[in-house]
Amino acid sequence: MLVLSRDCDTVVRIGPDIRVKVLSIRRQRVKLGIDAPKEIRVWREEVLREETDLTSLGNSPPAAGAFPVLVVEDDPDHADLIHRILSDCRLPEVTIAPTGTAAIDVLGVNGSHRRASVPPRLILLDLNLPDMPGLEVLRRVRASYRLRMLPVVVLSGVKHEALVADCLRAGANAFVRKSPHFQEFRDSVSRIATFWSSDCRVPASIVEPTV
Amino acid sequence: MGQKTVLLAEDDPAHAVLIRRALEQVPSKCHLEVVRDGRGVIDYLFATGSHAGRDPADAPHLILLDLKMPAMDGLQLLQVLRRVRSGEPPSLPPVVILTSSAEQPEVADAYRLGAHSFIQKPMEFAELVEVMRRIVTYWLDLNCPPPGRCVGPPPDTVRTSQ
Repeated sequence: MLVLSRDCDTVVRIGPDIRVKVLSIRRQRVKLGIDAPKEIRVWREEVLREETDLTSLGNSPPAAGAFPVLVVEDDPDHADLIHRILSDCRLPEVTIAPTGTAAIDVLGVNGSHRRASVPPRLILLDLNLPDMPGLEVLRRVRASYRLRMLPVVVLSGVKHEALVADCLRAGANAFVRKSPHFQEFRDSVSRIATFWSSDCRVPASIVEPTV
Repeated sequence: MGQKTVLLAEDDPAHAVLIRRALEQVPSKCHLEVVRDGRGVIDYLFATGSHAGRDPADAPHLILLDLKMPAMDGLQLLQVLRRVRSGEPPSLPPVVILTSSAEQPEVADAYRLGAHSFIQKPMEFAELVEVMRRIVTYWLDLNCPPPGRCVGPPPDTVRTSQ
């Protein structure tokens, strides 16, 4: 990436006709204004982590640290990739649960005591887990008064329509197919992240039942 | 592929017009049907009352629901739909709350009663267009629809009062 300037209001001339002005700088995010003649095409692009990623272009960044996500995924490659995509979407607080049991422990369902210090505000759930079906994790979440309102997005490569129906009946908020193609996969995870963290309102915190 | 149908439950005609105009500016076109309250949603889905004669198998792909409405409000409707959804077949469309206020107890209640997502209606028209674009691309494009389009028999709505 070519760094022209990191000072606000600096105007850099590129050739005789093009002027680039630094409008604002917030951490790693630099907003530029470009003044160029009509015949020169200008397009918007955002550079993240040394590589171009157009998927999160134009999204308003949510406050950092405000949106912990629990990813229930047994495939370490998928888990790593999802973690990276979420971080690129400014959701760095990610907990990976590689099994259904681990997810249930983290969530503190059934009185387990290894609950995450910050409860998640979104769960991304794979269906094929080594120890129990993902659907069972979903059912336990929905059976818990404390977690019933927590958004759960099923992210699965499974194609059976009956399973989609089962997940929706069990209370999944959304069902998104995992694409076998890298770019599509990346795009769909990125869209899930943006939709739930900045476009939607989700419950602020998970309150304990007042029994 | 034919146009997808969005069913909007909104009692304020001015808001309904704004939402319609906003949807018209969204690149992926969809057809909007408007009803005035939760009762209207039930009648539309199950082809009863003022929607008798409609083909109930032609279900909408998405329901946008205001919370404060006269005959049956958004939360009451969610309770009815939850009963329908837990039976067979579970092919009701996703329900997205689209409302001006977004107080936390309401957000939590809506999710607890089975709303699929909760969106605050922005005041500015340009923002509304952007919100509609995001709703349409997420729910009609990315999300897997429930299998089958048949919505089953109408629920017994007499017992809906809390």
